[in-house]
Amino acid sequence: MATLTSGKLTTALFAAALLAGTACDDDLLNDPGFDMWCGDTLCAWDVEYGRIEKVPTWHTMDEGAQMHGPATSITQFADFDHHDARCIYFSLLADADDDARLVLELDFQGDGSVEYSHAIPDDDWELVGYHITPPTRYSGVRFRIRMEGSGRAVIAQVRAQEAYREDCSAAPIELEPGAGKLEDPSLWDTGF
Amino acid sequence: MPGPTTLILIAGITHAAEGDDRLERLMFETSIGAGPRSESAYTQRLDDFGFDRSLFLYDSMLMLEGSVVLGVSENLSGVLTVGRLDSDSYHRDLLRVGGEDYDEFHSWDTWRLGLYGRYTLPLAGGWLVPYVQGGGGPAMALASYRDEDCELQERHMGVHLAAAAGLQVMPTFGEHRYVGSFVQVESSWAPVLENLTGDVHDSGHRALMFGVRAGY
Repeated sequence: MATLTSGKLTTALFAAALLAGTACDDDLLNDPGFDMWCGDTLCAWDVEYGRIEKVPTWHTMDEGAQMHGPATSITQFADFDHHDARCIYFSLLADADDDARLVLELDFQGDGSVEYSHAIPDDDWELVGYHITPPTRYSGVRFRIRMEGSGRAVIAQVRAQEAYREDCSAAPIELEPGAGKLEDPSLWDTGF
Repeated sequence: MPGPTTLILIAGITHAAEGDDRLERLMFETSIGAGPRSESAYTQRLDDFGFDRSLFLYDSMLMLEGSVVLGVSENLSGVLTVGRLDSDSYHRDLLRVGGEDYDEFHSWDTWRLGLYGRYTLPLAGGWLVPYVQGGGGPAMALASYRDEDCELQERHMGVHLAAAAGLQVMPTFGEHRYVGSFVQVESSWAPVLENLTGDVHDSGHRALMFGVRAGY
């Protein structure tokens, strides 16, 4: 059985505390602008596969994350639920070569089932925004940015914000069969 | 090969030797004014990356200019001007690892050194002098980017073109005019500031200037 030494525990708690407030008040993600780097990796995002690199965007001092290789992906688990966000507004900034593509995936419940996947518009840092309607009930979302193809692909912003429910006209995303159960009964009362 | 300034000086001296009909030979002008801030792909990019324009004088900017005017003939002058073309400041709020917020700032000041030709048409015995002028010269933008750790200052060089029209009020005593004032509207073009994505900001402006002038 794995044990956590007091030193590691302190470090983990400290890291959790550090990352607790790394976004604007209405942001659902930490470090949506990829501004916080811990050495050569992002502080608030986990590199699942491949390698990322800090590169300049519009200015040498405003960096983004360049993803190297077709299998590269970064993720972040955001601990909010349907009480916090019944409508999510995304604003995305990216730039990629013609043969590279960036994909945003959402795994509601964080159980490994991707319920939403969308190519990130990546033409010359054009700011793109859109709404999505999350499932009527969920608890936690794993955000993943995945690169497809080859070439240069840089992501500068993946901002997710709570939006007015009226702004989401589409039907709610349906959870994949077998998606993780909502263990907390308080979450069952959606109030919708 | 003599430059434009040299040519104007030579023309003025030659003209004086032939019998001077100039109303003024050498004048110094200083002016202050304001105009709307200019929007561009560069400023739009700042918006896209989360920057907000600083609130002070949000939609307009203050401009200062100083000029030396050398009379060449009764109606023609050469004008050498140093002045600010454009100034702007942006900031954005970020949260550092640790939860405390901080600001990042990006600002610039663009200045010009211009050589212009001015055509004047004295009226009312020289008391009222409408004029038009045009020309160009180098321009320089001093830009800075400051985050929580450091500040980077950059210099962008380019050129500018400018045109203006104005009206001088010059009390005339005999054949002498020493002090006066003027109002001027001007327009300029100065694509000097550029970012890494190729967006260019035109630091040129449209402005209304008020000034005083003195000389002999």
